[in-house]
Amino acid sequence: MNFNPGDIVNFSVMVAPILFLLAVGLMLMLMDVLKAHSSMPLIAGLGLIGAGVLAVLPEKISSMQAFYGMIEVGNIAPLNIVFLCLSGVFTIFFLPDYLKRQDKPIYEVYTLLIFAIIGMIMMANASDLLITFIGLETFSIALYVFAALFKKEETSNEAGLKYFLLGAFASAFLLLGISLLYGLTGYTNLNDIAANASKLTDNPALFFTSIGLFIIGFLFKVSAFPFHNWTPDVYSGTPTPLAGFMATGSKMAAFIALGTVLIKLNFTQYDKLVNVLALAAILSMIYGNVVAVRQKNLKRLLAYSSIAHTGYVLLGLCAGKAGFVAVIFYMFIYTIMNIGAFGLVGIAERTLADTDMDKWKGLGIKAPYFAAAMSLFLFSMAGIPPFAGFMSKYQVFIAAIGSGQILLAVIGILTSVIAAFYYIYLIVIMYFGKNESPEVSPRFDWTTGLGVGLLAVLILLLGIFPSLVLQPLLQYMSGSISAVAAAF
Amino acid sequence: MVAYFGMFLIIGIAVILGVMLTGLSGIIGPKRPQEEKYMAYESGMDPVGTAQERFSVKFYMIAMLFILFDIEVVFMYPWAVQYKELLKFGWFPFLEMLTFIVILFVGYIYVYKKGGLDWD
Amino acid sequence: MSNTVLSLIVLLPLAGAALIGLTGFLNERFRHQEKLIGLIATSAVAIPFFIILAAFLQFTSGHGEHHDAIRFSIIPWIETAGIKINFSYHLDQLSLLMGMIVTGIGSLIHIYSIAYMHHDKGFYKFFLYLNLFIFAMLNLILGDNMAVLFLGWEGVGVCSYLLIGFWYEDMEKAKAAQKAFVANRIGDFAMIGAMFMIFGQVHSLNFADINASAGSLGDNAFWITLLLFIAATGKSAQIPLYVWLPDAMAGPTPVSALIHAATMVTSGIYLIARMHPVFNVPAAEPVLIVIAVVAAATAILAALIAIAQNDIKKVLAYSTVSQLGFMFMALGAGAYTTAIFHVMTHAFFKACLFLGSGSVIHAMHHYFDETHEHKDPQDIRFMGGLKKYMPATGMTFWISTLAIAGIPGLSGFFSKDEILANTFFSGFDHGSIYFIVWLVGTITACLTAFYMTRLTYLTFFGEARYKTDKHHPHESSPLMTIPLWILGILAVVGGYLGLPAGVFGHNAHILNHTWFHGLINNRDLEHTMHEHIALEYGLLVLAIAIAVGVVYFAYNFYAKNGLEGDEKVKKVFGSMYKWMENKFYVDEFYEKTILKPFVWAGDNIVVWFDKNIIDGVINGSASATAAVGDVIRRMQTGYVAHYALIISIGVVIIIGYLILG
Repeated sequence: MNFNPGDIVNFSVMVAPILFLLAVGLMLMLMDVLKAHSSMPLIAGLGLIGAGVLAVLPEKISSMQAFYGMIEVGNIAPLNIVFLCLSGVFTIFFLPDYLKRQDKPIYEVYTLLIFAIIGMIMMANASDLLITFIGLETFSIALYVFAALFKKEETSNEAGLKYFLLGAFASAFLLLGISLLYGLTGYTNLNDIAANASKLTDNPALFFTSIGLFIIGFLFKVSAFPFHNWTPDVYSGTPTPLAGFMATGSKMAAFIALGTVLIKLNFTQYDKLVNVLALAAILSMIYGNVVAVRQKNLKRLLAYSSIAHTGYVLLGLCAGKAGFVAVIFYMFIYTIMNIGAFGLVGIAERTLADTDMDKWKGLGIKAPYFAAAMSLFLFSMAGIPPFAGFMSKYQVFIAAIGSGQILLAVIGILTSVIAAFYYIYLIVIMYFGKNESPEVSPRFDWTTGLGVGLLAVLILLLGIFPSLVLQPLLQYMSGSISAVAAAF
Repeated sequence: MVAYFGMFLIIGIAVILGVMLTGLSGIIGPKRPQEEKYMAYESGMDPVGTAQERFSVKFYMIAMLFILFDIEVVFMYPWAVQYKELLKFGWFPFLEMLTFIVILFVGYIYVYKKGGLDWD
Repeated sequence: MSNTVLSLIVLLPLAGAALIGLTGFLNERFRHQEKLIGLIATSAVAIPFFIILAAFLQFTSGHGEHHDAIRFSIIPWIETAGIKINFSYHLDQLSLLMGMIVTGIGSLIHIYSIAYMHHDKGFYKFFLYLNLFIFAMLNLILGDNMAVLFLGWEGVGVCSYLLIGFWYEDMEKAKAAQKAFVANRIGDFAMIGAMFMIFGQVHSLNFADINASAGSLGDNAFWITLLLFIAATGKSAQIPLYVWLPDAMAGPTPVSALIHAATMVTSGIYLIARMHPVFNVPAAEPVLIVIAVVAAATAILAALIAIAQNDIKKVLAYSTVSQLGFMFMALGAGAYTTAIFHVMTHAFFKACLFLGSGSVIHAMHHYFDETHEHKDPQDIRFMGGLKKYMPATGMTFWISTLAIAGIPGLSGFFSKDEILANTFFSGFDHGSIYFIVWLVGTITACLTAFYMTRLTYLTFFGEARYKTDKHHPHESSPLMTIPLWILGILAVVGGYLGLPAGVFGHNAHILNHTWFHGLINNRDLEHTMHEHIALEYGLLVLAIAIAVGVVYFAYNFYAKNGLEGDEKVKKVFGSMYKWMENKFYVDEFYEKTILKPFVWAGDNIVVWFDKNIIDGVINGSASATAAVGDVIRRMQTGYVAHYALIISIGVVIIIGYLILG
């Protein structure tokens, strides 16, 4: 190809949201060392919103890649940027209060958060497997630091080290998968690989190995069974709002990336791949929900529940192209309610000196708004209408049934009965548990209050009008589906 | 052979320079011997001992920062070598490198202000 | 009527809830303005009632003509590639009738509650929940597709849950609420399953589409109807999911009257009646038999338990379960209109009975407060002779008791007789098991007459079993007695909508032959009935004899023996009485067989897994505890290596499957 500076300028405009976030990140670094700490959350939040706006500002474009096929900027890509940025914005509502309560003035979190989101965007929107990998490592490093943020605390250290070691382990599988795909086709570019699909099946053993390793790398990132075991330990050691971010933003990016690659490869024609995903979905749903029932520690409970939710999303992924909208929708809804739940646990953590469930007894009377908000998130996670969690589950089940995965949907429905049990149990504890020792109850300050309010309104609004998100998703997506079809 | 003349010249100069510099300092430099100075790594590391020994994390900090900023230079070499060629694109290549250096510079300020370069 | 006016039916209760909720939330003073709150809440239900009434009159005008359903919609809801669902509603004969019951009885109970909840600190919340409940219930019965119905289905569940736990001081009530919730969840998931199956087959959730293509469902109809029935057992308290309803009596009494007697618990019957074409498919015939058998078992079990209870609300609760069993017996016999008929008459007399019991509890509560006695105001052993002090309550309670017992001329007689006749005649063509169902139903009718007479006698007649020298219980305020009178009158006349067709001729049964004509097709029994017309007369005479005989006997029995009568009953039932007293140990059975193993599995399997597989060689400390001291040990002994090992095993299995599988 001929080099032309005009191309670079065009490409830079195309990836303007990423460049903008980069500038915001650098600015935050400078603000950190120049001691302008107090306005860092605001700048970070505004930066993320700005990037989101920049992403959807251009006219809707059909599939188009910047930097010579490296990164997708059309189709669903702008929406991915919006969703990922929003997951960051939601998290920022809870961070300042949490760090203040924990008495740990660590301001790198905002910088790292921005860089993590840049990595997520790169991974989710990559159209070249190398960019996928670079994006994954970029945000993973930020997440390792998040896990080990409180470096003087053993639980945090443990979390950081475990996540790092196992994450590196899993990355190796992913990288091996990518190398083998390159070996098979001679390309790392997704569209080129898709165009040379015939080369893939020349050597089925190698093809399945490569794509299998690729899937495994992502299954680790989304903590699907049997690659889930780091999740409870890491989440319970990570600072709580950041654990919420870890469970949502990174998983959303990983699901989008995995889904994009698999759909480009038209994976539903290989029954074996679908079976692997389906089995991981079933086992994640069962394991996550059953083990969560007996958890007394809220962070561990949410960790196991997040394994279960991964199962539901995988269920949607099994449906292939038709389920992809449901996957993204589910992850976005899950992002809203999970960041809310983790945020509330974070607020209560310091006040109640623990994340033990029994400490929450009687909160329904002592802290009515707090308990009401938590109940709302829990009801939504349990998939009870009219909350958004119901709609997301509904979409995923419909997609699974539409693609003939009836058994999967049935298991999904059955396991969500179990899930309802432990979510409701916490509500019962809050409202009906007798509180023996009167203590101070958790309170909102204005940022957390605003955040919780916003998330709660979104849960209700999207529960009643899911089209607000589904409609744009379908509109943006419609291009990409036909583009994929054209590639074959 | 003629094609490789430049290479042999560089090797030659390197060898001469190396021998000359260390030799000269050995001959004319002042000698105040200390125990540390006779160790393989003058910075205080004991070269012989068990592998499980603990040593300061600061070594890693310095090493990491060195690699970070050292690798950046690798990107600048080809740019500098090709700069004349790149001039046909106007100011663009220059601005590109400038952006790169500015990003690096922000990182440098951050490291410096955070005390990453202080030993104590 | 315009779309806007019709929309008000659904929107007004929501607006009422929002207004009360928001104002009460923001303004402390508003919460104590009970009259204002009562007025807002009541009109938010009464106005929809009058709108529905107007629609009803429009339907009845013009003799015998077929009326199409009135449709209206509010807003679009879900519009994605595969599916379009709107907030759209329809008013046809079935939903009109249900709508009148819900909003009519709802309005009366709102009025009643103004007096009943007087000075309660959660006054505004109570009315907020009540209005929300009406909103959800209207969605359930007026929605023209399964999605809107399901939204209401879940909504009434949530409101019921909130209202059961309304006085959440003790863990008992909390457990009752949780039990209700879990039982309902099981039903709900059956409902979702049915919805998915239907959507998979019909590609629409609209009732009109589903019912139109019911014939094409084939064998799937069996599973769909079975799932729908399981869904109905959850909401309408049938075996095996009925256990939550008696416990739900922990809530305020008007709630028991509105939700747990007249409206919400009948939604399962509504659901089946609404989707009856699917049940009429030949493949669904076994399901109808299952329904009839389960219903008969529920009816007699609950009636037996009711005989041995002393809590006035508990007796009524089990009586409700038993009567719901009667309604399902009708459904099981394919007599859908009959079931709806009984829903209506039952709503009248059972709401009246519950409100009457509320009035009694209210009076006894005040009385015990005045005399500083610490006795249970709901225990009928401390009552007796209340008729003297509470004439209005006593009179209406007595009327309703006679109605539920099936005394000829009162509403319960007509509907219950029709149910029994339908089950009996189903026995000729649809399997003789219906004869057994009929027999069980008839025995249950005897038991019903007995325990209801016992309840009324021990409460209102005979000697007072409390001191009356200084204080005595007082009649409740007119706000409470007027609704009682209205419901009492309805309990008397409500049955004339459905005079037995065999005896009074084809057109006497207004409900079947005029109102539901063309909308609901019962399984055809007319031919069989005609063949055995003498038998129908026989059944009628038998029903009259049972009702009159048992009521007469029970009244005299308790008049002679007083409380001692229970001892004699105990002797008659022998060792079974203990079982009846303890509700056949069903709760304990569930605890041991379902809850215990689940908890055991959770405790043992998961902990074992944690200890042996995850913690492995380490000292066996469960990772769940995660004590700080543990953490260091775990880090040093290569805990992570275990994780890595599990991951590696997973990789080997997956890759192995992909290559070799």
